[in-house]
Amino acid sequence: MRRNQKWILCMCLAMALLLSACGGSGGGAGGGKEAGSNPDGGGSGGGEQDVLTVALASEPTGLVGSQVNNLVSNTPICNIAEGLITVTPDGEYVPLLAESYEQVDDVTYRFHLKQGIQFHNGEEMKAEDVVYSLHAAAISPQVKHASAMIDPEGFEIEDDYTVLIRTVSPYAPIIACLSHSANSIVCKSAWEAAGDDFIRSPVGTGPYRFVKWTSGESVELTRFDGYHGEPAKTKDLIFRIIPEAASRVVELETGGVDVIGDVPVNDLSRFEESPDQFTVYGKPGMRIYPVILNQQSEFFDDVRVRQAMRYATNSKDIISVVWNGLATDVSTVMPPAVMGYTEDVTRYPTDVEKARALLAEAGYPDGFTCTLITSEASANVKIAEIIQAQWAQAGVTVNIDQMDNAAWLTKQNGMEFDVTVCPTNNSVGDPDANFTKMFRSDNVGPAGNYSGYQNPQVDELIISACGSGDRQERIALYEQIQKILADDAVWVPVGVPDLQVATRACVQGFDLYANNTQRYQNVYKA
Amino acid sequence: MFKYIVKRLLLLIPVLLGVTFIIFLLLSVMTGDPAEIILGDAATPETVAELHEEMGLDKPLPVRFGLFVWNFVTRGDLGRSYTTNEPVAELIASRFPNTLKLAVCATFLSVVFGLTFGIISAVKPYSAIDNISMSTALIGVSMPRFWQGLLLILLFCIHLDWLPSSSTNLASLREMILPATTVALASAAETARMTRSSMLEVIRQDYVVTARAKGVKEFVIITKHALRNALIPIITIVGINFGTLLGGAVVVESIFSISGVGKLMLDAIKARNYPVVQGGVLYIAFAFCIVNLIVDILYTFADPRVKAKLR
Amino acid sequence: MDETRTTRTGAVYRKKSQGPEIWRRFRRNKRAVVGLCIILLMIFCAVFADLISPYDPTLQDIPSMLQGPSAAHLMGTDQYGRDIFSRVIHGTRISLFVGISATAFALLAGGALGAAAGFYGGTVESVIMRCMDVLLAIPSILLNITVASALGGGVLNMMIAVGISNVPAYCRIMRSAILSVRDQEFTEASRACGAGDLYIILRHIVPNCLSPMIVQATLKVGGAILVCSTLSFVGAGISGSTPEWGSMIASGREYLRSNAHLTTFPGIAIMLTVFSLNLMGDGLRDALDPKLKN
Repeated sequence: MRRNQKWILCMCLAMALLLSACGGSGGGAGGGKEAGSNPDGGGSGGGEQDVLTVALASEPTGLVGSQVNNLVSNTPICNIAEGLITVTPDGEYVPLLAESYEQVDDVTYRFHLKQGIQFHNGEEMKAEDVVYSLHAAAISPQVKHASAMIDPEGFEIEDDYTVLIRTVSPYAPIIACLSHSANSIVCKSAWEAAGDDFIRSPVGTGPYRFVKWTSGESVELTRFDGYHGEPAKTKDLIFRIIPEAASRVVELETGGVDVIGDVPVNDLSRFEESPDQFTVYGKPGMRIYPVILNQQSEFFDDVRVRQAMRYATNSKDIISVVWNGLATDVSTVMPPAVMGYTEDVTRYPTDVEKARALLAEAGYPDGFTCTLITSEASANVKIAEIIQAQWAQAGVTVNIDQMDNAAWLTKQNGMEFDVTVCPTNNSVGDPDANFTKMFRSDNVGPAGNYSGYQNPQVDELIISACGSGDRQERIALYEQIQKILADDAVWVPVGVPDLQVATRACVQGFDLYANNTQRYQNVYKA
Repeated sequence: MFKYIVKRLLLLIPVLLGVTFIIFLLLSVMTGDPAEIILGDAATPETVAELHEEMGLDKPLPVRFGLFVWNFVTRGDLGRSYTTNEPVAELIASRFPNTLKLAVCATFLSVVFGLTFGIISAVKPYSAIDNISMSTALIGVSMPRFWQGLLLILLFCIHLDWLPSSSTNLASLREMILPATTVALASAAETARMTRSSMLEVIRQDYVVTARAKGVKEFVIITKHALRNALIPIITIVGINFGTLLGGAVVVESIFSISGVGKLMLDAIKARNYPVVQGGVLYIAFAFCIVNLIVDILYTFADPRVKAKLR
Repeated sequence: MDETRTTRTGAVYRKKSQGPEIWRRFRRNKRAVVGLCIILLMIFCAVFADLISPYDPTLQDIPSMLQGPSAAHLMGTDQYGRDIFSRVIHGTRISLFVGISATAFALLAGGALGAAAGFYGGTVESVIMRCMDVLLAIPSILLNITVASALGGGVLNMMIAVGISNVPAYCRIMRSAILSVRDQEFTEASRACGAGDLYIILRHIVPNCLSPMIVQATLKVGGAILVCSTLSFVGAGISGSTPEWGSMIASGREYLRSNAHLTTFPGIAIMLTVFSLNLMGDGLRDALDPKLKN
């Protein structure tokens, strides 16, 4: 297959060359396609203290929550737009744009909106804006993880400040989903007026309003004076795009930025050693790093082989290399910060002998050779390399196939691997985000179940946990699921790294949210 | 002369078409799917198919190529970036100033240092200064640029804390120093080596000996007789380097977080952002060819004989 | 001097005395000899890497990770506790292999195309040369990265990805070299004797264009090694636990501040290799082309 592709490539190259050589009289290209330079370098003048600069690890792909799916974009978004519900730093879901809400029946929720809330353009937020925004999210392919269960046909406007929202089927996590920035409320008339450009010039109700987006450089926001709550403490909020982790660190040290997220673990200790200059915020995160074994491959359909791999893995070593020890060693498939987490599951302490014995029992006394795919993300690569060395001791040879993110996604979605390293972030905060996608039989493949695990009992448990409105009952169900998954050794969980944010010491009022969003409403420089 | 330029510009058309087609082919054989990247963990077979249709990726390759060329020729439209939805032409235009600044600055440095040391070495061949500068130049071409960049960062940003290590838009000269030096080191070394060898060749020629015999001052001999005639290969190498730099210094831009064309291209390739890669390569190839043309025209000023040949 | 005189008159007997004569000239160039010696040493390291290196280059020892240079670990250990010295030694193998094979690929492909273009002229020539223009118009590093991403990682794919951007250069050299000998008398004579095209190209023309090609190739092996490491650095090349110098620098980069030795030693290795290849190439050029020496 690969060889074939190469041949085709070579042939095509040759043909392309020929074509261009012969085609002397083509179209008339070569117009004045030079760039018009923009002399405005974009500096930040004004009052020093009233500007807060935050580093972003890459360029946002858009500033409307329902149209993008990445953490970087959500950082500015959650300061521009808000949802009906919001989440507190402790993980509680409380109404924000809604005054209150009640459940009408299994699938229907009635939301009473706060009155007099202004969008950045001065218009008042009404039920039609809510419906318009949520409908856009419900039909957007980008945010299926947070909005797919909202029924796009099920909205009902009772009056300007009352709206009915329906789910496709009974779905308890809906309240958590509505706090996700995918379901944040934006101004209907502004969107209709701006069309496609709205994604680059959003109008929401948040404490900051959008000012300017300089491609490849920065996104600038400023305080919204008509904000319905406490106005933002800092006037200007600037997000600077700095793709290199090392550069972000240096920028923080030299004062070029005030806040950096995802601090490289090697630099943390230096920041912690000088508390007069820097403040470090750490907290267990919601991103879990598993090594996923593809049960559709010839080796891992046998539960004994999967168990052997868990015995062969030493996650303590991995955590010490990859996160300098700053991660939680878990035995289950979800992060401790999420409701329903339990450690009361079958554990697999590192035991190479046991791993060998299990392999022999499964018919691999001499081990086997399998392929592990990984993207080029530093943590994933490190996990891959250590796994390779650890499993080698149990007799399993791992060939690492490292590729760029794009190629890795394609291979993973096509289930073309034996083993993959695939971190998942629970951005919604509800436990369902850790189960439906990754373990339901109908989601095998691109939808997210990369282990190819199919167990009707688990499917049923997941569905009933979704439908149940009772918190204790849900917790019990999720604990039961985790036990089954641990017995079946579906994943090899590696760890849940802590979130690390570092700020200049003068930055006050910063709160770390477990889902890694950064809200700057109450943040200021002393 | 005019006719020559027109002919060269016409020749550009098939070249650019070829370049575009090759890029189309390469992109299509790359594993990876832009839709999957945009969707991230929201990808399902249905959403991917939906997005493919939106992007026009469901059409066969020749159709896509034809559409791209057609849109560009008729409307100057290169498409929009998959990720940020900006028009590609605007995207490139916004990154171009940084790339241009870096290219100009680095070329200036490399010409100044390259010519100086090259001439000194040629005037005093096999002297100590020649040996030292030529060995340094050789080391300069032997170092990987990314490592050079890292070493400079290590020294000037981390240990000495004199200069900033990242410089998104190269706003000040201070931000420019390190990236420009990194880019210039290797090309200065190359220029110096080229200057030395072509000067040496010229200096041995009869007319220089004659000039010397006539008692012309050494300085005049070097600048007027030798340097001018040694200039052609030097112009070539400086021109090629400058042309390449207009396409962005991929590695240096990414090390120093400069928001330039090279970084844009690298990110676009990794994200399978087809419109940006296609439009970007087209622009880069165009810029490169134009610089080449200018270099060829410059020859005629450096060497009237070339002008005669062009006719 | 004796040798000089031989050179001047030697042109007549060029064919017979060329080899030893070049070697004699090469030997007098001290820098070139130093370069040659270092390269020979590198080749020795590459061949006997397993014997020389004190540890298995992929052996992890996590408790002793990130140690500085010491007696036990000459160049220290990396983030997995692997011995950097052993990895640098093994890296010689990959870098030299990729450097040489990529250059050979470009030389053969470019040489063949250039020979065809120069020998046949006309349409063939303009088609080939236009194709080369297309390849030249794409900046080499972007071409390398795109081809590498299209082919995927791995040492053999690297060979093509790195080599492809050099094809036009060889093609042009070969073509102009052929043009300069195509119409000379010995070619015509051979044709008059009934020799075929291929025979003439291989027997008469190629040997006469070899020296510029060889010089170019020697100088380009170093360049290919640099490109290969750059590709690994930007994540489009060889990666994972394979001890390639560029990827060692790339993965050591996040430790630049605390443990600079992770990037320093592979960096020096690349520099030294390319430096000596360049020294050798310069010497070879001077030896093959005595006009340039005074």
